[in-house]
Amino acid sequence: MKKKRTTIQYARALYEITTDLKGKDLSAVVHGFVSMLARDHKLKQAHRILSVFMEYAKERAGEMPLTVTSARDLSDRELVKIGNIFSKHAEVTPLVDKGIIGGVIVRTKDKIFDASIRTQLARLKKQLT
Amino acid sequence: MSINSIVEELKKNISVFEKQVEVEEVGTVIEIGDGIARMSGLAKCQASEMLEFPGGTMGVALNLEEETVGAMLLGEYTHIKEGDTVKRTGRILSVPVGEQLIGRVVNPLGQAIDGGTEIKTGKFYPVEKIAPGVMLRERVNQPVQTGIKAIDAMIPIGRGQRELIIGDRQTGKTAIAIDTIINQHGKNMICVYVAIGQKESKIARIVTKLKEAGAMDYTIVVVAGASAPASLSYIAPYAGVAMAEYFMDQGKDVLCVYDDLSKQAWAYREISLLLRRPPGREAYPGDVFYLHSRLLERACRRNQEAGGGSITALPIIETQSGDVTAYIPTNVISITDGQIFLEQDLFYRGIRPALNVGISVSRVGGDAQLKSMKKVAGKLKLSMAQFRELEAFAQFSSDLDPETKKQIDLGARLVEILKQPQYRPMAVGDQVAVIYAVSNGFATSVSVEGIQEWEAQFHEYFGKFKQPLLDKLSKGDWDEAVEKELKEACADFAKK
Repeated sequence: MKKKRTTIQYARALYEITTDLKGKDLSAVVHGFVSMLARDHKLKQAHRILSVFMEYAKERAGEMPLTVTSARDLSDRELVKIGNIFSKHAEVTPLVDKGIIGGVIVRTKDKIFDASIRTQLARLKKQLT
Repeated sequence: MSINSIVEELKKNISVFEKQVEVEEVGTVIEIGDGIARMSGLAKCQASEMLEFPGGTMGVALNLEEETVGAMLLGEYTHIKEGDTVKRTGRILSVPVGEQLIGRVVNPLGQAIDGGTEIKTGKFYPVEKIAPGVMLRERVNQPVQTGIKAIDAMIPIGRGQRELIIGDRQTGKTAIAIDTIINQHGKNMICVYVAIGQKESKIARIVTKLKEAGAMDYTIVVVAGASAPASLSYIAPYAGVAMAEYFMDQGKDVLCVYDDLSKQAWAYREISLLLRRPPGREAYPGDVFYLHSRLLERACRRNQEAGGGSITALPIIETQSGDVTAYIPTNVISITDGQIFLEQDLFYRGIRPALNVGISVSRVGGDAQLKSMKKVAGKLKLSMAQFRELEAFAQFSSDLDPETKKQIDLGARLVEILKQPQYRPMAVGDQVAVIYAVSNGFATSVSVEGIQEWEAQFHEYFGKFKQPLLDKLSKGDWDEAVEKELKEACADFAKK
């Protein structure tokens, strides 16, 4: 049986073979890749593969989308400072939520770092009861 | 406590409180509905891990796929939207266990639903657990007294056995289980009654009955009612057996009733189909056998080196118009150590419990039967078997030879004596005495219709005058002296 390849595998493979290529080589490789997709009947999924590829490439380049939630507006300097803790190329999206009282909540792609006063209070309440 | 000391205490508690950044792994809901959610992210999620949805609703991860995780939701989910954040908890699905649960009615997550106080046990057991292995087990060697004459005599159940109760609707399956629980009073047994997909009114009636009989002092009722989501019906028996395992780990004997497993199989089928697992026979998923086998394997008798204790399982299966060859009944019949067949015909003929003694069996319980009961039951079984063969001729009673007629007469009286009203379990000593009396011909002079009345008088007489003998029989003593004493007692009663 022919092994099925997933979208993620295609995207990663494309990234691996194209990283250090330029000009003519690049277009030759991309051409080869597209004909492989055609052979595997995967052309319909090209869009999806491309978006996964973009995400993967960003991740490899150290770019990291961050959502920073705080109780009041943070200055640009503060946001950059928070971003730098995670990555040099962090893309910070600030959010304001009065409900968290104080502190910050930083959300990356699949993790939440919760340093808000609301959560601390909830934990204190749990500890006292 | 004065206000000052309370303030001091608070200050102390707050000063030791450590500020901590909570790091949580999260995912995003991409699809939700029918009690099922599909999420992206949650890369490190484990199988059957609990997930926290917004609003405190819990879910259990069931399908771990390439890019998504499929989970069933344990509760209200209408407020959850696409794009909501889901947190990992790092905990495998588990339920609270402990003595505090005894006497309570709880849902499969161990939360009280009897209107009482919140249950805090401090101890959790995982819902899914591998059953004890061969080296930890021992033969079934102690009886469970159901208090029902027909069962204790002919289909004996031992502690650690799995005995299936099977029959159509309205044939008295639950009645047998409830009578058994009521009869465990003072017998050092903790009972767990798991109601799956039952009407809430029926559960309320059962709980009231158990309370009246004083059986709630040693019983936990786990309820996933008809209105509960399929996920709760699916985990209910596992939650019940987890609660039972806690007591077994303390060396105690536990009786678990699963009422009923066909509804659990339906719930599991629903979840599986919604999770898009491929359907098989009768649209059940491929692992529906494992669904029941892993549950019933957890019933066991553990040897002393492993801490002792036992879990006896009484699963119930409802058949559709007597068809035991359907998928789920055959599966569970093959898993269990015997079955009690209940038949609608018998039920309507007034033979209650409507036990079909011909095809009901207990494969291991015989070893655990008391000696006195074993001796008496041997003769009973033989007479009943002969009666079943001759029953067809009973209508021509005038043309039969005296020997056959005698057997038919005896059989008719035995059938009559094995009838028993609901909620009236009988002590084993009484059972032995009355079965002995009838099968040895002390009731031949009584008409078949008069047997019930005769039996009542018999028990009254024995209770009044022969208590020491009944105690001996209850302990299982049986030798020539005891038999002689019993014979004389029966003769004495017959004279009166």
